[in-house]
Amino acid sequence: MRRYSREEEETIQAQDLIREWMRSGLIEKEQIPRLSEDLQTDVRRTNNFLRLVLLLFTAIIIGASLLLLIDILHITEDRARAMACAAAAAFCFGLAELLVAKFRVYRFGVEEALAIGAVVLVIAGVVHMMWKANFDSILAMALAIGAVGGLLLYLRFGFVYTGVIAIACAAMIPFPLVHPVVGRHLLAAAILLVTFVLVRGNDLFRAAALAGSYVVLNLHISPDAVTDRGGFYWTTYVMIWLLPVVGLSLSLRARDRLLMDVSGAMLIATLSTNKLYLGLPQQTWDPILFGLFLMIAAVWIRRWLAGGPNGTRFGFTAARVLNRDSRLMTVVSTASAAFQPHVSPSAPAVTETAKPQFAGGRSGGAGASGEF
Amino acid sequence: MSTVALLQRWKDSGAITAGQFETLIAIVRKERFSVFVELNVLLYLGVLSLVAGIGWTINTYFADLGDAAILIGLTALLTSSLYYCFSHKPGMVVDYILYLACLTLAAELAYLESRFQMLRDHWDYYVLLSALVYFFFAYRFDNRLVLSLALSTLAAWFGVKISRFDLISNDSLRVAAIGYGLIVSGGGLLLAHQGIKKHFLETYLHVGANVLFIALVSGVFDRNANWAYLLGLVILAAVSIRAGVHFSRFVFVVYGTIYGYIGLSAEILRRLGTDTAALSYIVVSSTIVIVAIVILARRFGREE
Repeated sequence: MRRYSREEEETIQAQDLIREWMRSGLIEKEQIPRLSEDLQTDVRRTNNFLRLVLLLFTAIIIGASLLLLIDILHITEDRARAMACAAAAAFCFGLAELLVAKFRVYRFGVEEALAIGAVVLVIAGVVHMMWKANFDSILAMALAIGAVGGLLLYLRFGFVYTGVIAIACAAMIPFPLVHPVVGRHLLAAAILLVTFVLVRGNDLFRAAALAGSYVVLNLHISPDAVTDRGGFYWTTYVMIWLLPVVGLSLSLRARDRLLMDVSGAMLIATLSTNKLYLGLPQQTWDPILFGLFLMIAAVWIRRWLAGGPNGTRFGFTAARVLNRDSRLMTVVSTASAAFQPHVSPSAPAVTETAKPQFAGGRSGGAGASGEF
Repeated sequence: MSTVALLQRWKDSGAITAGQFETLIAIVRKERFSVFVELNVLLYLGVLSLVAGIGWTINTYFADLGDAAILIGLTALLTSSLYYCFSHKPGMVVDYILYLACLTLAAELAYLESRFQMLRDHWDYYVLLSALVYFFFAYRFDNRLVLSLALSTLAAWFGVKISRFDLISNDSLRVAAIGYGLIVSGGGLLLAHQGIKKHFLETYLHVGANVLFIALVSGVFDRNANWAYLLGLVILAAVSIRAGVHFSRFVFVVYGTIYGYIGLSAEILRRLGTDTAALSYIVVSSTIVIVAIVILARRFGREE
């Protein structure tokens, strides 16, 4: 079923690892040719930036070509348009297969856009066929096709992100179909929790399933407003505390970074929405206490880890081990230029009794937001 | 073959030393697991939440608290943060305490001007002063987060300065953005050329290039704007792609390709009369882009 064998995937992972180890100064550049002898593979790869451009422009070509075909052939009937979408989907999928088989491309952008485009075109075709049905049925069908299509692409090409999309689509199917709010939240959470329990060997899927179940169970961040403080409400309150704790416990034991990060984010979200859940009034000093708590927690963990033998306790260290951590921080701090909080005094004079204006809405450029 | 088996084979064949094997096997088996990024994220969120809370509290209770209490509180936070930074070795915690100090300084200056209007119509100099102080701190403490804050504050000052002119037009804002982009990119290049914090250069270039591209693309989209925007965009895209390839910084190839394509296509599509012609243009031009990128990708492989 898979287009790339397990051995090929392992070899590619090992190639990435030795490059990362070299960047991190753990091995010398001169050692790379010798190590690479054991990591020969015939697949063609490209760097992530060029891959992104290739994916984007291939997607543009797919969309524009189909519209051009419809325009030239004057296809106006819904059924004929659905057939055109289906034919284009088959063509895209076939082309993706051909590129992988003949040119041995691997995460090259083009084959990814073609494969994903095939699923999107199938959805578009079905939507055209069901045009007269009600919106909820169309949405449910689109989500179902998205779930199956995403899973098939993962199984065939190993695209983990389509696997995550498949999980998300499957979990969202109850939303248009089940009308009692409690029922759809429970069904979605059940799908995600079953996925979390059943999926083995893929950290991203487990982390995505746990994060998804948290989102549907935390009623103060999910789209449905549940105002009835009944049994379901308080069950979800218990769950939003339980899920991060279970996630953190499992991830710390298994050293599963994704699950650990997702669980940490869930815990922060729980702390942020706790007062909303309990119906307590928000105080202006809440963010101050929360910020101090986060900072003190970080400093305490760092000091505690650094105090262990070789700066390590139970295998955990606060030190940077791989260069990718530094690169990630560099990217985040550079990108933060677009999201920096800004505080500017406003130009008009402020009377003694008026509130000071902290919004700097007259600033311009580089994403200066003007928000305090 | 698993990574552990590969490492064992490399050790046995002498391709890696025993010391390297011990280090790498510990990482692969997750016996040495870094939480460096996670601690950075906690500190960053903590500072943001703290400063947001301070701002909210001041906005809500400034009348009850009084100017003295607020200014004393902010000054105490600012001085204690700076004292911590200057009295400790640079590191993860110092980085974020410095960021806290910078945001507190901004809050204090904003409060001072809001309440006492010391600079009145020239209040934008507070913004410029903040930017200069942030630049100093960024270089003194080698802090890229504060450098980004300095760059965006400088951008804010450019924006405020332009808005002071009576005739605010899109063109004047674009010119300000282009001026800002050129100063930031040029300043970064100059400092790197002088050997001062060369590793900051990419931050300058990313910010400068994006601002320049956005200003030029917006000029191309404006039907009343000068054709020089298109010329400038084409030249900048070519320089960005050329330099990105030359220095193996492919993100600049992405900038040049995407911004350049958007600008050029906007101009060409405007002149095409029919949907068929427009769609044909998109298919042909996108295919040309893909062929060019594939050639580039084959030349460089996974190199980044």
